[in-house]
Amino acid sequence: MIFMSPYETPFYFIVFGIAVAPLGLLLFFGKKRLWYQCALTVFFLYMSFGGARYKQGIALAAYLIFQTALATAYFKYRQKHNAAPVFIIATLLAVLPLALVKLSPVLSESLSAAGFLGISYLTFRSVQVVVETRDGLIKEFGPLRYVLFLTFFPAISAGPIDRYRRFSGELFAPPGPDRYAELVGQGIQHIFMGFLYNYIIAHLLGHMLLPLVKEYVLSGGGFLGILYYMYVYSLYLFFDFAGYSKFAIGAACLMGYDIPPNFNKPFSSGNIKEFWNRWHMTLSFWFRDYVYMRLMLFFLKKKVFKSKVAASNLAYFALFLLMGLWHGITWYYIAYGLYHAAMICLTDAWLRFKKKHKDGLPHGRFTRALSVVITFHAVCAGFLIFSGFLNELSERM
Amino acid sequence: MSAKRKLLSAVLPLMIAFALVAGAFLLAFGGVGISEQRLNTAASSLSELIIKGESVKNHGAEHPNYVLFCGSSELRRFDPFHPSVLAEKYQRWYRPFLLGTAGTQSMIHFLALQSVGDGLSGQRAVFIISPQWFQDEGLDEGSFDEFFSPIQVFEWICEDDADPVSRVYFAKRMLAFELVRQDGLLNGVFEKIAAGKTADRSEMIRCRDRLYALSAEDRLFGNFFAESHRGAIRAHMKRLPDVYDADRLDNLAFQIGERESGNNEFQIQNRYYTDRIKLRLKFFKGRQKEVSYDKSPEYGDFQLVLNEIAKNKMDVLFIIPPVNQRWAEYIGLSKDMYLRFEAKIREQLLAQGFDRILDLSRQGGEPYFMQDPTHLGWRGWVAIDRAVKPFLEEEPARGPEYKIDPYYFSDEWCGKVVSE
Repeated sequence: MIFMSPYETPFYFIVFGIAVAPLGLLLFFGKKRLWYQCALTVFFLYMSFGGARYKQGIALAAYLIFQTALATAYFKYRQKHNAAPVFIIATLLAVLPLALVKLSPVLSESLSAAGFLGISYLTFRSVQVVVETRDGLIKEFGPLRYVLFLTFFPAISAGPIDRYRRFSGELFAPPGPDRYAELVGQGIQHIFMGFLYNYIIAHLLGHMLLPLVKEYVLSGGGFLGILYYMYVYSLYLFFDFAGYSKFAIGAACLMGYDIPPNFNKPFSSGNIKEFWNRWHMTLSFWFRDYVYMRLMLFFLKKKVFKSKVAASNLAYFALFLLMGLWHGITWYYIAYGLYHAAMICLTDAWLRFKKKHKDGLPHGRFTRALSVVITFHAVCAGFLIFSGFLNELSERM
Repeated sequence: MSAKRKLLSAVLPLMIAFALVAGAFLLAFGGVGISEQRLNTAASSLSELIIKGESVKNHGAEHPNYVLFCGSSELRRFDPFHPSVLAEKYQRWYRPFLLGTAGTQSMIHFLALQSVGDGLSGQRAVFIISPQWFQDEGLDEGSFDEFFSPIQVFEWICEDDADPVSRVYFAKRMLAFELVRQDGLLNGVFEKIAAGKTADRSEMIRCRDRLYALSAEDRLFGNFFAESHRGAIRAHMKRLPDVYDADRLDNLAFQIGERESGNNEFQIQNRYYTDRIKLRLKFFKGRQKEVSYDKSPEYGDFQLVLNEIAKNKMDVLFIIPPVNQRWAEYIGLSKDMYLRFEAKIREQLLAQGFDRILDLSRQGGEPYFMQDPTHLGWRGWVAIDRAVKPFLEEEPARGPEYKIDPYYFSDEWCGKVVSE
């Protein structure tokens, strides 16, 4: 048996292509065999979490049992009752495994044994199901489809973060020959773009150029060196992650699923808000819907703040602090979160100012270009904090 | 458009692409030859593709008119006295085949040499050992990533003819690098070898498949290096006298060195000084007080190279270059420490019968010997030629007797501080 992480090498795609071909043929003839998808899932999970990584495999299995039991129990409970404390406990329980793993450096190293590749993304999905169950949006629930949703292997390790209701719909309704033929075209296109992004551009930037730049800065490259590092790292991050998302989306297409996009030309954004609507979209939409909106609703309902602006700003800080903490309990991830929170609040203030002084401000192609350039640099500065390189630099100095 | 046509138009381009790639690889099984002229360019190209690749490097190593000059960044310091220039100018029987560039330390050389295989048997070579390789961490992750050559590693695995000690040592070292650990197959194989076991049959089959594909790729693209220093070599040749005379060359090197390093007190080449040091001079002061070459995994890696040389009964001239003394004093690099390094590497060589050593370690204060802080230049190259010329031109090749001692792979040796 060959063990490898999703999309680790081109060879993964060969295995994937062969394994998925029968499913593709079935889909093309308008049939859907759920058992085949189950078998595929087991096979690919074993490939990624078996062998030397068997401990992760055990953690994953335990995680799935726990989350499925939790979601099933809460769904059943919600059909009859709707108490807030139960909802809060269910949500906290859904986050608990991830929180323990993330806090393991602080609490106890042994907790990290509960972790596995992709635990964050599975948690985003499970929390979503709990929240939408509470909202009464999820009307149908079954353990099998829930597990298939959580472990949808093309997107298991790094997203995109799909939505349960959307996925569930596609799970039971085959796309039909016409639609599937289109999906195959898109899938191949996505995967090959992924090759370009991830295997070629990100490799050149991250593995060839970045070490050289790093060496240059550490041997005293000064401010210009750091700037250079910032650009290379930011572009590397984009091509690496966007390429990865393209693999996931492409692979999902070949299986007949149209999962949501994760990147939409993020560096063409005119401000930070727009950036978060274009960068790691499924994650920022998740945070928007389940953190920001919930907090806003809570603040306004309970009249915690008089002004909407203050409520929104606080919600932003909570959102980005949480996102920072999610990346890891390290000062630069937290700084990264606070930085983006500050940026987005400033952006909001600027947008309000612009609205008031509509006529006084120039507006045109040039200002748009200028705002794109400024946003790009603000974003890259954030990635520089995120990279932890400043940390390394300060330790060496 | 009907669904069938849609599907066909989606899949057909993919099929055509696969067919084209397969065709290209099949074509490569016949082998794509390399012309003498191209080999000549390759010999002084220094492109990382040469040391990582197979067909071009092996062709050069086996060719009767080329002698391997293994080293690192100093090979790039072309001036009139560079070995490639002297060999060309004075029409010697050999041309140096330069192997190495900044960051190619012992491990990279070992991989490159072992992949040549029998072609090295009985050959002569020159090997320049850089003291800077022997720092605490040895070969760093970045350089490894840059020069890591899967084809050479798979060749090592498939050949599987290393002695038990070096076999385990090599596997453990490979597992120290992220890039190797990330590769599921390599990780599995090396974990087994490091534990003293052998890889599974199925793993070996997969290794052979990978090697097969990588070899085809190498034959197709190995020739695609772009870097050439032929122009520089020809230009430098013009500055040399027509008749070879080592003393005259030494004088000329002195004059040129004097002229080209006037803007600083360290006798560092002007351009290097202006570009890399001038603005940050203060930054460097006392900067390397803590640097030590005493303990390093590099000593074990270097033993792999010695092993390979002994296995092929090669006759090798080892060069221990000095450091620029004026500069070393400024940055606080300890002279005692440097001499301890020299004593240690000498011991490792001599104790195992590698007695052809050109030890320049005490000449770092000679005027115009070093072109910059760490690289030989001008008179340093002339000094090397004084040893290289007799070695390659006057003495007959000998069949040296080496006594390889696995002790030099041990942590004990790597971590030992040898007194001068």
